[in-house]
Amino acid sequence: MRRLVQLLTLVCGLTAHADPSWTTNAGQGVMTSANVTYGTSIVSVAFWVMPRATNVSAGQYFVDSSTSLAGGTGTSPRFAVGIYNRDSAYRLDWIGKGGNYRSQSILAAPNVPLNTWIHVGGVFDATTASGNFKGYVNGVAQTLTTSGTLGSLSGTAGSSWNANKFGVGSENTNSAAANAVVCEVAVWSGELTAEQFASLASGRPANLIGRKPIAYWPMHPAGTETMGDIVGGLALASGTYANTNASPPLLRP
Amino acid sequence: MKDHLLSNGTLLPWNFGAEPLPPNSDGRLVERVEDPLPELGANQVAEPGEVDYDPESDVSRQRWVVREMTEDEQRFVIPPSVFLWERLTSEERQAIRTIAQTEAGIADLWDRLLTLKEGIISDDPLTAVARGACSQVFGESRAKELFAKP
Repeated sequence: MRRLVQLLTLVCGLTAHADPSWTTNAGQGVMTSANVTYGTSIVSVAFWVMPRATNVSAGQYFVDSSTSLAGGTGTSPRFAVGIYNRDSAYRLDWIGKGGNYRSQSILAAPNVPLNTWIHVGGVFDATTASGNFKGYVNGVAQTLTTSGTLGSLSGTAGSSWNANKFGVGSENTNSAAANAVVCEVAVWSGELTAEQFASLASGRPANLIGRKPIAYWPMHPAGTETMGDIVGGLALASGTYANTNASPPLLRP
Repeated sequence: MKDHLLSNGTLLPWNFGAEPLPPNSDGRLVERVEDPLPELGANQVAEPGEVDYDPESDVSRQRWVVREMTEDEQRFVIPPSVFLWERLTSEERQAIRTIAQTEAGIADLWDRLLTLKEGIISDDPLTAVARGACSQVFGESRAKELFAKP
């Protein structure tokens, strides 16, 4: 018992800190150097984001399960979350893709607010041909409306999500980049519960919600460094970023 | 120890007589006042805020009052079914966050500890570990507050 307590408090001498969060810069995203193996047809993702601009030509991606999502040639399902211009407004967009793509937005909401931290969660279910997405904002489940071209995940229903590199901040390292501050990105196999998304939105770390993620990138770089995955070991390659933006208020001491 | 009722109907906590007392389920504190009550006669009725006479109790002649908690005290309110994480201050959460993001193995253990609710299951080994860890990180007095029985 004493040994366990000692282990638990091994690093208790560390002082609380408020490192800055990762900031996209000059159209750069960051990618894992190796593929993420999801091992399931249902994947959940969550992260904090502070959008700084919406005036991008097509869309901007905060997280992306593939380096070639927009290619239109993939047959394995892939997923992403970003901002897209739907019905003359820049809306949060949850995107899944097989041979075609399916996109769902919060159409009832106005444009995505800028310079405000929001917690975003998503569940991507490829167990059916049409897919089934769920979106959470600040821990609250959203009503998503299908928009754009409704494609099909046919041929891939029931399969696992495509094992591929995972990117943050852009569709790939130089396309559809977000202008935003992003941190606390995590991915889980299977579907998180509404309570778990609410816990994350309350500031709880992704590895302390009672369900272990398969990858968790806190993304609070103190300098030019590789941003590690503290669960799965799939580090995000270092990219160009500024570290002048503070972490979300809930993550500060 | 048997349950005690104040004359206003407030049920005193199960560990009535111990110090410090956790808040009642309604969020109010039961506090002992220094001056003891005079012993009540056979037909006397206790005043509001006083303990009804109980010949079997060793504390019935003391004066206890129920009062609203201050803001500082309210953060220690421990409603039922609240996870340990929810009871931590922002500074404490940041400390745990730092620990959990530093060492994956330690995070796995803290993940289990933070799903604990209340200190009711004080004989549970995991609760004992959690209390020990909180004592090391936050200090013994804070651990005592966090694991006070409701």
